[in-house]
Amino acid sequence: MEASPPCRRPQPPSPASSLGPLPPEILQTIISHLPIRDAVRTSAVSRAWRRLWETTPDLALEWGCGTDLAVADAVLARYSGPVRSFNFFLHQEARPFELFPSYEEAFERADDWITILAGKGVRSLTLGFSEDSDDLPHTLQTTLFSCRELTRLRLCNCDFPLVPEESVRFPNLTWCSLDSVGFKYAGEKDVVALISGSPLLEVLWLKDPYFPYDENSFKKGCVIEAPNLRHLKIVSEDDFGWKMGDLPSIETVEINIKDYDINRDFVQLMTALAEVKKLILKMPVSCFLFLVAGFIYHHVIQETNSSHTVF
Amino acid sequence: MAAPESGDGNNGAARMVTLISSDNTRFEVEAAAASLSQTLQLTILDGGGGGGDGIPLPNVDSATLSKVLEYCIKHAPAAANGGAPNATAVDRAELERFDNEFVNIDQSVLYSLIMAAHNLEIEGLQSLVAKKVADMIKGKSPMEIRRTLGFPDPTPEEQAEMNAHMLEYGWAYE
Repeated sequence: MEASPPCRRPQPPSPASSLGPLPPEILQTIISHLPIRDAVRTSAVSRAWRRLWETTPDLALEWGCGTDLAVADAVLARYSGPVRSFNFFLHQEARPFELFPSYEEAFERADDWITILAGKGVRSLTLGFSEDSDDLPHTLQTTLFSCRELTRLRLCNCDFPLVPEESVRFPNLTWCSLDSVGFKYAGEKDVVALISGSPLLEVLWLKDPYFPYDENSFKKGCVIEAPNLRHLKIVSEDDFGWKMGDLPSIETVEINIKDYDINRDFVQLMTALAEVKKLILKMPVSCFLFLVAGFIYHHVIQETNSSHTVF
Repeated sequence: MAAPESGDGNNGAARMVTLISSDNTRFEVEAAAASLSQTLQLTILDGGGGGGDGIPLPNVDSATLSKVLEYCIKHAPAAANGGAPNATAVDRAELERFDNEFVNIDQSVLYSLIMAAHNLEIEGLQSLVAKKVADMIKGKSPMEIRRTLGFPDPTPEEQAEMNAHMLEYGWAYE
């Protein structure tokens, strides 16, 4: 029995099970690998760890559903940055009604966060707003364009600010996903300005974009041109007349439109995407039959006619 | 960023350098592997560490140095490929398996390794060991972290500071 003494009391640290004193820069490297809640808790471990998270670069400020807005406020007030990533979903079910002031107020906080995050060099930003259709979508402020360090941007259920033309807006953006995002100022022109203002863009997902109804602008359509775009996905109810321009780096394209424009020029689309490695084109059966009929007309009947003229 | 292999006619055999631990053990290792250390890289590029000379490392004992070099030798080929864009998924999985196994060690060894990685500025190893410690403390309360890291029980003042922090940052403890 003496060989295996019972250990009721916490054992004094033995050399084999103890991590010695570490300099602050090493502690910060450790903290940078922690989620934000854990990073903040390390402050209470000992004096050596005290408030170190506040100056640890590249923390991921990612909040689960139900996080109080004041928590994100408090962290942003204390944390010096740079911010590796920030994500927050402002959903109705996130908080009991009485604790959730009003959408207007909550959404304005999101605008404040964007301004603060721009100053802290945020590199990845995800903001999701209420999906409740009774609410008017929140329009983001142009301070979004001050986030020049952004490499990833994901927005859900909001309106995009007016995109200033003729300048690089997001010089580092490589990944952009916009889900149910409205472009109420200049419609398709804003999308084009966003793409041309993000020269490094490699991935673009547009799901159910919203444009103000404008007959003329639909007819002109929106030409997507991006030197580095590799993956493009467009999912929407309506055909907004998307056209493919110069896409020298394109690898995969998925287009899923429920209601194609009757005048949709599929030949232009296919020709522009001739170099793509993987193309997924989803459409209703009726549209497909229409397309097949058009193909037969162009390539069988017309070619037959031309061969008649040769001989 | 240049490849560490020198073009001084040493074709065939890779250039070797000698590292000397704090307890005077000599380790002969390929220059490419030792160059994973930012601290050593300049000396090696200047042609140091070869022949009868060695590079003394007064802060690293032989047990730790041998462990550090095990890491460097394993990671040198991928590092030479500039982050290994051509590496296959199998190669990457193998490195990951090696890394996981590599940090499965006693805390005292881990501690020496953290300090050595820091002093020698071996970026990948610094990140690997920091991540290991982060995984050890993730999801734990400050008290549990203290126990995990083998700290002595807190003094009454430290305990009071812990409690104050829990009050101020209640959301971080939910």
